[in-house]
Amino acid sequence: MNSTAVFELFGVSYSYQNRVLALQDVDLTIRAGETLVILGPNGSGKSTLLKILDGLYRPTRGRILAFGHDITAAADDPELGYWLHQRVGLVFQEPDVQLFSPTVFEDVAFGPLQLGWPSERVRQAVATTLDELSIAHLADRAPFELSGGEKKRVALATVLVMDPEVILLDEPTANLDPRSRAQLLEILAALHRRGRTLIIATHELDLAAALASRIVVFGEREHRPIAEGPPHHILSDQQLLIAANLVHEHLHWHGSLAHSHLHWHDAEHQHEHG
Amino acid sequence: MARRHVVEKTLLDLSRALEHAVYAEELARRPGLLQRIDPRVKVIVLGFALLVSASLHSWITQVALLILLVALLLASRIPVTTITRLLVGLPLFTLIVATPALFLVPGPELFRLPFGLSVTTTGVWSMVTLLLRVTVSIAAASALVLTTRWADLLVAFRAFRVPLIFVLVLAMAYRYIFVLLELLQDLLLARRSRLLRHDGSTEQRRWLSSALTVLFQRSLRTSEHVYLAMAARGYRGEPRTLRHRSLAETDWLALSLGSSVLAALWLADVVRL
Repeated sequence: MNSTAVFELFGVSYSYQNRVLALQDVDLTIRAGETLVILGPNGSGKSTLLKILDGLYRPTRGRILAFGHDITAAADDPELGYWLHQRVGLVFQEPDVQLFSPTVFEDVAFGPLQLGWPSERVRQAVATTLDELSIAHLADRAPFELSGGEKKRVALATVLVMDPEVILLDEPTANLDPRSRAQLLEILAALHRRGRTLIIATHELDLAAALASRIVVFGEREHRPIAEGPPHHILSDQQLLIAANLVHEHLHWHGSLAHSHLHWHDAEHQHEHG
Repeated sequence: MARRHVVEKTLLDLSRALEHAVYAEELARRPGLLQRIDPRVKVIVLGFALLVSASLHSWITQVALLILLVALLLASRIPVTTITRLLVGLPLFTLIVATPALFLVPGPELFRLPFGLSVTTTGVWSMVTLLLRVTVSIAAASALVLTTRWADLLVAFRAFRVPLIFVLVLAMAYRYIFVLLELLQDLLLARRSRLLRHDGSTEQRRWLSSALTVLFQRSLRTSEHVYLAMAARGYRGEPRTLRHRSLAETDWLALSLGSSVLAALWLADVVRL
């Protein structure tokens, strides 16, 4: 694996309106080509971290380097932000905020146009991206006519069309039906194979198991990483997963037999009954 | 039928608004005559039709223009029921507004009514002319709106040098109205699903005002996130858009044919005068 650091965070903290703490003293290095899954329950600061990595929020404390450049002030410096957004793309959790144009085609074209690409290059790139994601038939649709799965894929297309080196994804499989979810996982796995750096924020263990080359677990009270490592190491540590509020003890009945086991949602599970 | 309360009515209206929008997009995608023509050409020709209609004096030329527009609507696969609803339903309101003209416009008396009122020939003609103009205007506007997708209309606006920021605001307002309408609909349905009895109007209004507060907060949060989503894709305060494609041969043909027919109608009207 390429070991160049794409992001380096030193003591990064963030609080909303200086009152609600979202991140606290985060130290983290993210390397080129890896698929890093940031695993944590709701409110642990995952989404905030992605917005900071994309230069949309300025940390209240700490320092961030991206590709070796200090981007701490990117949120207040349009030129620095512009430079960063050519290399890093963010797929928001809520696709509706990302699809603001009258048609899918115009939405996908928005980013390349802001980067100053000529019209013909934009048209070609949009057509290719829509084709790659098998959504060319949606090009003329208005966003309100799309299903949840289609919206997610279009939102991903709006970022992929700019061909960023790093793709940040906030809960990419939330509210997706099984088929849309499987299709999205395939797309993300293909991006990883093509050498893109993927940083995925989620609370879904099976998504982490399917895609991660490394997992960082965020604590809901700590608002910083409480563990990190390869997927098999993190996902087999039951005490860690319980402490991080990612699995819970699930008591239920099978006929007259009371029985409990660890359980997480948004995934199927199998277990032996004795 | 039980009297509908304000919440029920709002729910029904929201569903209708969403249905109309989806129906309009569906009509604009049908493989009809006007759907194949560039929206810029439609804006020019149908705008010209509005001007010509306003300047025509003879009812014959007005009726000819109306027949032409209805033929265009039919050739564009707009259902007869939709055309009838628009061209009969809407002018009825004009009829109500225009009725006093029957008695107020001075001229030769046609017949007498009780209470000393008399209907004049010029009054009748004034009302007929007004009704025809309104109907033609509705037909021309419908021919544009029902055969052109909202996104294409915005492109046409941009081509006519309407400020880009104005067009963007329009586009986003239309886009997010649906997001907020869906949210309001969900709020209303969630409330209705938990109601065990009909509550009073006061309670409903109180609830509606708190729902509107939720909507307002949501719209503020959405606007902040939309701005972040734009910034994340390189937006720096000056939006850039795709350059317009040039008009095809069929568009030029439609432009010249449409303008010529309208000019001929106007000339025929002038000559008759």
